[in-house]
Amino acid sequence: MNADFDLLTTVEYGGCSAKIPASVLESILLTLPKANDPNVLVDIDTHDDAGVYRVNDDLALILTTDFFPPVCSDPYEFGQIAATNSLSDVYAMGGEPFLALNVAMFPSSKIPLTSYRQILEGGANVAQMANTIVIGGHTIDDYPPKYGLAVVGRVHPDRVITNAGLQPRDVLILTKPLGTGVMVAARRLGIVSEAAYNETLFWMKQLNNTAAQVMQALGVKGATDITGFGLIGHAYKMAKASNVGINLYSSKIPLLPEAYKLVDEGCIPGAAFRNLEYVGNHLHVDSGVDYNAKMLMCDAQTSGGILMGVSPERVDEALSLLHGHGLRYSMVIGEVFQGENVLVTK
Amino acid sequence: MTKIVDCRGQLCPQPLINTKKALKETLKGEAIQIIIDNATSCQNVSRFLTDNAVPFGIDEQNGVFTITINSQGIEFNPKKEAEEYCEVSFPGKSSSYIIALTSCFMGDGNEDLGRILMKGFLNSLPNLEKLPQEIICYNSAVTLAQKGTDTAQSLVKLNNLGVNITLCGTCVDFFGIKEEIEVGTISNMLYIAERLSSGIHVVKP
Repeated sequence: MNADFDLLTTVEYGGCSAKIPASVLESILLTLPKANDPNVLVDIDTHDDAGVYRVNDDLALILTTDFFPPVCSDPYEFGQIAATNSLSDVYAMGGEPFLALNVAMFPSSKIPLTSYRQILEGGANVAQMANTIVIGGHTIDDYPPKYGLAVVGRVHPDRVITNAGLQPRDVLILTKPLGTGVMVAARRLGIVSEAAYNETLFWMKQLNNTAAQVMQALGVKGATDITGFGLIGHAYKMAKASNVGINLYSSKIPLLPEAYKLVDEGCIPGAAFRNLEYVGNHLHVDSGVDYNAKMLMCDAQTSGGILMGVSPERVDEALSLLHGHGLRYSMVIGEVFQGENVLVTK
Repeated sequence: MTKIVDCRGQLCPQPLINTKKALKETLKGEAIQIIIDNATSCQNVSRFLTDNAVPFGIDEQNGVFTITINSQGIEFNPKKEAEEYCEVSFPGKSSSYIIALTSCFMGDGNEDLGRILMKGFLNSLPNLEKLPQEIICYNSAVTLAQKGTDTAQSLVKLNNLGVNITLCGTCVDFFGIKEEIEVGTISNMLYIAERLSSGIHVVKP
């Protein structure tokens, strides 16, 4: 690390763990006025990752923003991870980002400004890889720092992928390993190896662009990206929006190296308990399910992978495409059934 | 005998780590007292104990919580399950290194020998206990993925085992073999630089 300032010293809860609990948020969003415009294809009703607005028969715009406090020490890497995470919502809806604005808070009197420049450079680097132009932004003086993008993406109006698009029999594939929340907490406590932590950073910096391309190639209709609410929280949101039940296989979840061992030692961040609380009795866990695996499924992810529902006939094709594009942790981790709620089995 | 676990001044998840450690170490018949001065941590530790069917009581005095676990007759031993789960296998679980191939020869010196060695190297990789995550080929190494070569066959085999094969796009163009690539994803220098600098162990044969 060649940064002037260790960003991780500014926060207790970083990344997507810093989100307001979903249950709290839902209660206040209920009373807000809703748009009655027929061109609004997706709004907050289905708890989706982004809003979608139909411009004409061939074009819909995806709008989203996401920003959070530091998840790592290095400002440049934090910029990369935050931008990757912001762009992810567009990919989760099957779209292609093309425009973005920086959204930032930075304490100019407390942290050297060079760190801010490095954060923005990290964001710009990722935007460039995503073929997205950053055309401006907004900065507020505030502590601790926060950063992300407001992103505009495009998608064909008939090819929007949402939380509500799952069908019974769909097979669920997850494209990145779980455990980023555990790993970041462990890093702060100094109990994780350098190699495992670097692997975590690597995955948080991986764009979900190839997952989006694979989904469009296979005609996927239901997907989301796994972030602050954890695999279980996001699965519940999808089950609810799609009016289906979801069965997750706890022994099949891809994990970051050392994540299981750390959870077994008790390194379970508070956000995992919050997510467990959030799903409440909509979650049924079979008696044979390992407690650590369950908590990893609740772990808040920063810039997590895509959870997609693939028709059973196309699962092999999906996996081979995903693996071929370097998403080597991509695995079948569950299935969709006619019913409701989230069921975790062994 | 009561074991005291003082977690005052500690932030989540440290109190839980200390609690779990105490539970694992505590002998039958010993009680544990966990002292926590943070409501959220106390809540999380309580939830953990409840989920794991460990009976406990909580006392609060001036914002300091004391969780008492009477270990009499409690067996807290999730070890077996844990090991079972650790054996779960999925692609790439055990692989934490990348191989960077920088030319079509293995080692410097005689080129004929270098070519034979490279062929042997790629041939033996599938037999390794720990496969690499990825093989990145740049400079003349991209010709190893050319159709009709033994090395391409080895790379296909590795790819089928879940190893990603990445080829430098500039190099593929330079050698004019874009149409003759048997296996691998063509990538740019930004990606290659990212991968090589990601901190994962890089092996250069």
